[in-house]
Amino acid sequence: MSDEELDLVRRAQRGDIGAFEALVEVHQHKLFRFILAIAGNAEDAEDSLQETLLRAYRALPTFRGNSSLSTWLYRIALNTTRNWIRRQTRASSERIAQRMLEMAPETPRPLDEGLVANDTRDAVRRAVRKLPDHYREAILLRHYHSLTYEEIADILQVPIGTVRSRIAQGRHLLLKQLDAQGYTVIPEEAR
Amino acid sequence: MNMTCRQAMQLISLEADRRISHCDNDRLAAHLRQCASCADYKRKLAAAMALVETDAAAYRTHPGPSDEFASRLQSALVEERNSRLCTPITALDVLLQAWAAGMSARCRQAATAAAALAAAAGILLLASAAVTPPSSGPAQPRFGHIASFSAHADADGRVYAQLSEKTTGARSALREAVE
Repeated sequence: MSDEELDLVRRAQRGDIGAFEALVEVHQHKLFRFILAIAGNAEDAEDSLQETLLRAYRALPTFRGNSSLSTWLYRIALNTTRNWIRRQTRASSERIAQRMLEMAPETPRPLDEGLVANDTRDAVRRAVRKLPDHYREAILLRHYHSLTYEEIADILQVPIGTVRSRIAQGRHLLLKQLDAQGYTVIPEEAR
Repeated sequence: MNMTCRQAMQLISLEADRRISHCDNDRLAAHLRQCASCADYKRKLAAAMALVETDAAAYRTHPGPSDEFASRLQSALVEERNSRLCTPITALDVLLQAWAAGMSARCRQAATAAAALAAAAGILLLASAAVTPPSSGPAQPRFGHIASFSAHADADGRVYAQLSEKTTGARSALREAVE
């Protein structure tokens, strides 16, 4: 942790809201995207992010710096969002999956290429969404947030070996789903 | 020792993340030379992960929370800080703080008394809500109100108590907060 970040932590631990905002600003976007992938829509993700950051503000006096601030925040975000999802029993998985497909910004592409890319993107997101929670969380942290196995173990509070097998099994399930839909056409040069 | 295809699947995943040891790498390579199905699996997995990575790259361009989020968060934080400053201290807080701060014996006794008072009042209130006879007016839910009781002691050992009733509208909020 840098001296500047440490200073902000100390001030925020004493209740300084400005220091807390400066501290979380760096992490806010990636936390939002992580929550968004789990919660399924931007509106719920914002509510859950706010709850996450409020919990972090409350819990900051107990933060001892044993893990990085980033993984500590991820852990709070994960637990908050899991609870959030549990409360949202009204939302069917179908509705969540549909919302997830709507969330990514469109980048202008030539028509044909755009259609193919969107179709593939939807298939990937559907496949990710269908994964059991513990595999999906590991896959999201590894592929969508580029975290190391050690960081993922710290966030999920599981041993490294568990992270290895969750990632391997998550990938295996993703492959099965994509393959069944004909999306993993192996390039000629890779054959 | 021969490797099973299941073990190979795990090692293929580790290899993709460059987390495979030299020894396991050699064993995997030997297995892939003999097992066409695992070699095919490796190629397919690489193709599938390339699709996931492409999606992940697009995903990282998401603009993030809305413009209003920062102001909403700030209001919530200010509210949180103010509530922390203004909320009457609960009996449990008094007890914890008293022992944590190493209060005098007199203050500790006062804090204990406050906690006991709070617990007794809570039990009485629940009991009275349970036995309240139905009124002749509009139907009221049986446990239709919640009462809160808080107490605290000052540095001289004086005990302050506060009793308040909350309307039924607060029940769901309270339940949610407890969850």
